[in-house]
Amino acid sequence: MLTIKDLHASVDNKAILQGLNLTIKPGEVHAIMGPNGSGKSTLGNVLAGREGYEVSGSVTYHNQDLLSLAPELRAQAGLFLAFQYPIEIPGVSNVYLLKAALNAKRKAQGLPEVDAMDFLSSVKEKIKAVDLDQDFLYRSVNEGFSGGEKKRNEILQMLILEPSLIILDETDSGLDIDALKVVADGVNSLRSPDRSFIVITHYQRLLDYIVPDFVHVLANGKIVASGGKELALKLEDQGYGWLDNA
Amino acid sequence: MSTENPELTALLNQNYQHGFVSDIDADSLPPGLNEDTVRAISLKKNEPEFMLAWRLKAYHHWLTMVEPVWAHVAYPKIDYQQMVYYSAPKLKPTLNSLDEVDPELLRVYEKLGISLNEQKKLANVAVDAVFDSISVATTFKDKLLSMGVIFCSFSEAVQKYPELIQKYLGSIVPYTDNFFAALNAAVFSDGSFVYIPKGVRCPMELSTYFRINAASTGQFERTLIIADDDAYVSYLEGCTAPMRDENQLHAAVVEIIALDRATVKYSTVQNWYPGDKEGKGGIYNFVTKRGACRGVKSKISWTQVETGSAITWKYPSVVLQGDDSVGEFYSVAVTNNYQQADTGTKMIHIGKNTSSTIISKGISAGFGQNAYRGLVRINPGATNARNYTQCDSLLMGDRCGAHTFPYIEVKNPTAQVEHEATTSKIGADQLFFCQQRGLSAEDAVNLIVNGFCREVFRELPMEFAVEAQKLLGVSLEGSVG
Amino acid sequence: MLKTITHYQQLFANHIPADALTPVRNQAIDAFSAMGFPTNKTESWKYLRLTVLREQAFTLMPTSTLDPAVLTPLLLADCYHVVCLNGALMPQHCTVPQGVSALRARLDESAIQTLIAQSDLSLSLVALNTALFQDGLVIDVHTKLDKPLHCLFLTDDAGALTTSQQRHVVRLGADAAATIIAEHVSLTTTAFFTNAVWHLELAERANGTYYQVFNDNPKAIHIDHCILNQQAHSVYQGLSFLSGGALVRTDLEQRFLGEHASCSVKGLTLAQEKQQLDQHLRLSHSVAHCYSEQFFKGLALDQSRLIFNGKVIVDQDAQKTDAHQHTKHLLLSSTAEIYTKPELEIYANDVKCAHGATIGQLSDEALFYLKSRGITDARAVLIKAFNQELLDLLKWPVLKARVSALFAVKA
Repeated sequence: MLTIKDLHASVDNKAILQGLNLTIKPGEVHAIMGPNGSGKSTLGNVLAGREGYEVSGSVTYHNQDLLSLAPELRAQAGLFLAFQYPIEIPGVSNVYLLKAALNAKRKAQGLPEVDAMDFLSSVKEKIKAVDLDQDFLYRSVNEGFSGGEKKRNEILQMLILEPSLIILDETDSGLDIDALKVVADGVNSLRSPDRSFIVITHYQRLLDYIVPDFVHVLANGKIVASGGKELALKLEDQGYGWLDNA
Repeated sequence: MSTENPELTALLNQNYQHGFVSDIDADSLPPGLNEDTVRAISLKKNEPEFMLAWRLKAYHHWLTMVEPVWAHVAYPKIDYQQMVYYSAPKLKPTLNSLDEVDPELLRVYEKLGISLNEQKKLANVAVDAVFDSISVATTFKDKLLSMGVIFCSFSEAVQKYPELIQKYLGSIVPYTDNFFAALNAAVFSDGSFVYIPKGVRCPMELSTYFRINAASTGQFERTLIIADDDAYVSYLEGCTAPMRDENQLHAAVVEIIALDRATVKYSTVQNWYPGDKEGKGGIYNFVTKRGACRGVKSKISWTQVETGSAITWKYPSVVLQGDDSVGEFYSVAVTNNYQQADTGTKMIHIGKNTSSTIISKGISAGFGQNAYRGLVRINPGATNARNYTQCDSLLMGDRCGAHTFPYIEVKNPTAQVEHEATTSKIGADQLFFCQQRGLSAEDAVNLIVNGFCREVFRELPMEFAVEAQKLLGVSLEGSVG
Repeated sequence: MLKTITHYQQLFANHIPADALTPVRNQAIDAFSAMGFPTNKTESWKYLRLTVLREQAFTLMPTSTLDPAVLTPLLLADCYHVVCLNGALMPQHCTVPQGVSALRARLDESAIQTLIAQSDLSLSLVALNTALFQDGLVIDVHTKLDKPLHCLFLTDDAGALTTSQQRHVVRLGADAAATIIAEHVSLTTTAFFTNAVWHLELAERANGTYYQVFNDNPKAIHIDHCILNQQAHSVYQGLSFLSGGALVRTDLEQRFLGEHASCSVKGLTLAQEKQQLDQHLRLSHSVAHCYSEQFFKGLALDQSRLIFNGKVIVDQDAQKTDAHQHTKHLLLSSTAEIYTKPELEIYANDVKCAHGATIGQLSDEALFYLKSRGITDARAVLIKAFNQELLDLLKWPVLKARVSALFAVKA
């Protein structure tokens, strides 16, 4: 699904990712953990194509050179980034954005636009799953939403767009335990043999709910340790300090 | 311009689509303005004595006035003696049907997407087409007349309904009002006239389509809309002009009268030629539009989408005289490249329980300068007056400007006046977020801009709303940095 | 009008001695003579009626003496004190830190001359002041002042039908900090005309707090023009309380000259009887990364006229500007008038600018609620509540009590 080789990224000549390698197969859930400033969010941004980074190395996604694609083409090809800080867009209703995004993806796949009625009933079904009121569909994208509502709105978009590679960037930050469960349930409902996840998080807590197949520790822009979910528990127990001596 | 989004900059270069010049045989006066010009225009239009007298008074008053300088716009001095004040396509003396209109003229309007052919036209829109100085065709006149609705050219109204003209002409915008209104009163050559009788709800949208064609010609049209007791009408106005290197002046006047419980909705999609990317050429759009809510519970609503013109100077206003009357102003003004706009409204509250709403959305891109200028005045007798004003500016690019000059004058202690203004830009984060959800950069900009303008677009009749959104996209192409 | 212009020309010719500023003063009197007093055709003076200035010829204020028994209760405790009577500094009544002196004594300093020479002579009252000013304060602060500096500006009966043209210079050096309280009090009930120009200069990282209390008598005319320049990382807080005077006009002309500076200006205005109270602010973001905030409240009663104009200008290079303005005004009489004009002029795109302005009344529901609970002076209670937000910003109990009394409206 995704092969990252020797990925470097820097901002204003300050190196952030420094030779990162990672291979993700269909159906796998990979957790990326690491201390603040280790480059976790940069990884998500670089994969999604945010501007402002100088990038080198190679990233192959479904046999395509991911780094050469514009952000929207990556999205249309099934890559989804759940933002750490979802953006507000005044005047643009949630439902409008959902439909426009879904149709952009369908168009790229050579499919006709979604039927308006089918779409609406599907959205109304899925918004229940993220425990948001129907009113949220007609409110402006994320405007005036609480932190938790924004995160659940990200999950709603994910459920509608049914992407094949999902990157969750610190989706757990700022969530109380109930909202965390809603988010995790949404993610788990999408787990399937042909869909993969990269779960970026600072804390082990999220991984109790979204159980990873692999845990990687990112430090100084590289993966310095990899293992199973027990690695996350060790990090929780001992912090990141032991890695310096490892 | 910023190069942050090179792929967006590459989207630029969609040119003004209505910039063609048509080769139409014209009957024009020589350039220059003096008393004889005014007399000649009046004579050509075979006007009754009261019209000539009024025009001459306006002309002499104009001579005593100076061009206003307070607006936040800059342009070289206009030479009023170099301008042609009357240019009309040569027509047969009277037109009995559209079949008699010069086929070349019909083709011009077809090219603009306005069919004057009643078989092909939009099912529920009647059109008055004004070409340079005169009205060339009005559709659906007979059908409307059967309900008592008068929709015709101003010239025709002067001939057929002189008593209505004499009663209302200049009663909202007197010739003494301002420099350009005085000039218009002296030399205006045509325009549209609408009268909706008591109790009639006009069954279709009425529309005037203005086209400047001839070179060095000023366009001075005048529109008068009278809605009698309990009447309703929705009126649309569209405008285009050829691409020319020199600037052309458009100084129109619109007067609206709403009597008891009448409602008039006036929508404008203004797409005069804005000049080229270096700011060369384009229309000076210096327009006076004002409505009077004379009757109780009357309502006048202005909606404007201003995307064209090199300079826009207009303040569609409402004088709220009748008790419980309502005034509204919804505006989207776009300035790209070197365009300048100083636009807004005046809401003058006189009657009791009057209310007004102002929603202004200014979008600046390139080197564009966009100013909102508005006045909300609550007179001493306007008990329980209400006003809500919201002015939002969107800046695209780091060489443009957005300005807000609201005047609030309150003289009645029961008034509630609220004004809010914000300024924002299309953030790189917003663009990236939309792109991450699969939208192209261009679609993302359109989405964000249309979201920004939503409160105004929803006030437009359906056909216009679609056109306005498209126009906005074209006007702003390549402007995001 | 012409008569009064000639009058001020004569005052200039007969009473202003030659000094280092004579060339500037000559230009100034010429500029004033050409313009006269502003009329309502001048945009920024549109709503103010200056008839009295055009018709009444005020002579220059004479010096006078001060009875300590009158002065003592006015002095705030735990402050340094500066006392000016009829526009002249009274050294015998001052207790000041180093660096405070009379302007007249320091007119030979080139820095002061430069500052004064930069006056905008296209503003007619600034031009008049530049021609005629005789004295004022120079306050230079190079440390963090341990106590506020309380400046009392008094006018007594000797000042009846006269004018004081004052020029004040306040300079805070790098890292300096000072709180200045300027209080204007009348010891006379007759009309007089104060025309003051202030220069406030804040160097890098300086921290200045400036309180103004305008409590002139009901016939006084007071024009106060303040030029504020802020260097990088400086912090300015202004707080004005405007209640006295027949006609008071204050102008703040602020400019950010260095990045990461902040300017917060707030004020409360109460216009009663036939008062005309007019506040104009113009904040110029000419450099990036600065913050400005304006918050003004006001009430208009009786036949008064309350005018507020706040303008924010953001230049092309002033990216990352954060500027906010909010005004709330209450119109409480059918014969009073309120005019507000909150303006934005923005030439940079990456900025956060917003303004909000409301004009309304006391809430009927709130009035009824209070009355239904047996409160008879419900109106006064609600007005007090409206004012409290700004009065609470006054830290000194004596000053707060004094200012609160000025803003108490009878039931």
